[in-house]
Amino acid sequence: MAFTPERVTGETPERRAAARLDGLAWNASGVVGGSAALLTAVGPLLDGLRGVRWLVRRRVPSGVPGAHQSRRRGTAVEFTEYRPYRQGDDPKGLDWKLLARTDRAYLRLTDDHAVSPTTILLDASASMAFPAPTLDKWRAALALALGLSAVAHAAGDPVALAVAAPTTAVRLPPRTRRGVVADVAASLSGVVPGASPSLVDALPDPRPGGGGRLVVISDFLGVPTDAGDASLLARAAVAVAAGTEVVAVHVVAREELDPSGPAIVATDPEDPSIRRPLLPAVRATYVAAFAAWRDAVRADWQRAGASYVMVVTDESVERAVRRIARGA
Amino acid sequence: MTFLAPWYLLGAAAVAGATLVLHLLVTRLPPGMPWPTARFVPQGPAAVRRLHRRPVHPWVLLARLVAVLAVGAAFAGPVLAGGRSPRVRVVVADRSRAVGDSRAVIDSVRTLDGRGPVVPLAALVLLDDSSRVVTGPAITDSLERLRIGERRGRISAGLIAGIRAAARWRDRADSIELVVVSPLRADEIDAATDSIRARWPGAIRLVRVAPRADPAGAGATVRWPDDGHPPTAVARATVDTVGGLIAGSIVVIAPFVRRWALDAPGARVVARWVDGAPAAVERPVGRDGCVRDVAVALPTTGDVGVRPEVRRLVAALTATPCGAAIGAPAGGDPTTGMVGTSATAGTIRAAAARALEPASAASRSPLAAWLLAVGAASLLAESWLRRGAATPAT
Repeated sequence: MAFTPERVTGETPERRAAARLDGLAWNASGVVGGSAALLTAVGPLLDGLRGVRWLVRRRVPSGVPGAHQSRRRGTAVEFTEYRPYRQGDDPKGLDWKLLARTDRAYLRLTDDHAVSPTTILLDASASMAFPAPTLDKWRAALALALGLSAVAHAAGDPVALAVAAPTTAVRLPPRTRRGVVADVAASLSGVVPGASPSLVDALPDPRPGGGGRLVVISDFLGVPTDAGDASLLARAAVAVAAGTEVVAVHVVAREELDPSGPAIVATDPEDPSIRRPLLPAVRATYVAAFAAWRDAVRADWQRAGASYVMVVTDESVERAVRRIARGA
Repeated sequence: MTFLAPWYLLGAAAVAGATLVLHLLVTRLPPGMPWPTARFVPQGPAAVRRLHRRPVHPWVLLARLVAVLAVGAAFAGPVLAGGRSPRVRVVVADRSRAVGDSRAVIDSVRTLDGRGPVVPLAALVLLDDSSRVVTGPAITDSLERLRIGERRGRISAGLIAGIRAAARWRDRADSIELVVVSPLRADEIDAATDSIRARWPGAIRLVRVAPRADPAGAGATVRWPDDGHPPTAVARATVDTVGGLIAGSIVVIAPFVRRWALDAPGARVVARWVDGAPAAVERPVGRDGCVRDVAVALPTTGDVGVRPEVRRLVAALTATPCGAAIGAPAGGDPTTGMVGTSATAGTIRAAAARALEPASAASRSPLAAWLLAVGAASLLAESWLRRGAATPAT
């Protein structure tokens, strides 16, 4: 039997169409039908992501018990290993029975598990509302945000949301309770991409103790690369240094990668002064320049210590979430 | 329907073709579209020029083409006259005594077309001292029965008849060719020939046939004693000296001693002294003969006798047939003024023939005015349609 992605992931064309939120429509106040419509549309995607584990790649600081391995040797009942006692160790960790039998002082070590607060930073700038009739980039970004929220919430992690929206930044504090995904959907259903909001301004303050996870979902077209310490990359680098796992999810439309339509005058929605003719004769040059820029963006994020994942709009969102969860 | 100036129609067709190409050649700005990655598109001219396979605004194009073609057709001079021939021929055939052989005339008329297209013969003018116009089916029989007579030929009469015959065909033909088949001897040309020839605005095709081989001065008895005393001359009261002599186009300037005066009432003066007195006269004798008395005593001293003009004078007075003009006309060749210099190689337009007679109702076709009106209406419609077009073209 031939290999097909459907056999591996269980995807069907219907599920892929649902994951792309094909049934949604937008008006000036957001998704037509509100969060209920958004949740209904994203339902098949959440069903497909059930059971997906999204473990952090670095040990998390100690805290509320969770699914991620903590940097602290904890007091859990699950034995891991012995270690000879050193001066200064807490005597409570001594294995008294072993000391009584062998007269050797050993500490009984156990792994500590903690939660990893996950913050999703979503770019809602005008460049995400592309292509104009279908808003495929924004649909993909919404599906990714909801899917990652659901996966993180399934692991018991607190999920926070920050949206760089055109009017006012949308923020949802970290929550672990039931219904977090619905809260995220409710917050996102009222957002209409537009203008050129700053991702840095929407970025929540770092946790005092570091750790956690920050997922930036954006096309990075409005992110300046030479803004010094105030740039998103600089903030990401600081967060990485503080122990936060940063994931840059680059959303790219298929039309941006392969503009095969008729000749147009391309206008930058975030900077109307940029008006250039996208003719068949210059498409090769455009494709090469765009590819070079994507490579530079990936290198920048990786240099800052972040993970970089590019998601094209015609890719299955479910598969993209699994890729992100695997760290690929 | 035919056109008097079809090159206007060809020009209009060329302009219409250019209009069509320019209409299909569209330069326009592509539609604007939000494109987040526009910054990666290289800078360049935004206008796109391409040749469409289908017209962008077909009604505008149609209005333009109709306007151009209608105006061109109007300037081309459309004539709604049915049954017009593109070209006809009127032949003036000489059958006078000047012609050597009648078969030469007949064959010349029959071979006028040469290798070119056959041009119908509209009228045949038989020329001698009078002219007879033959038209219709009788032309063939008349040409076949053409015989050379003994009458003197008069080109002027033949030209008048030929021009009138051509004028009758002006409404039935686009082009009329006037052909004169004649040896065109000097005695067939008179003083009115040039003015009659000038009435034909185009060129006349001249086909010369061999003249009758008459002996020099045949029929003329020249009485020219050395002392210049012919029998009919009388002694002058006083002998004088005159400075020159004029015979036709021959002028001799020399000191002539004038001893005798010619008294010949009714005789034709063929040479005069410079003061107007007759120096030589010609008197008809019999049917075709004549007696030519010359009262000129050529100087016996000096070189007057060997001067070219004197030799020409002697030859003209002794060798010119009866009734013929003494001395060749100016230019030497009598055909020079006959043929003309039209660039159309012997053809004229029917429009030129119209100058000979008042125009008839058939030539005043209202079609040109209507075509101009159609062109103007099309231009107005084009302006209105162009304003209504959604996007500017060309």
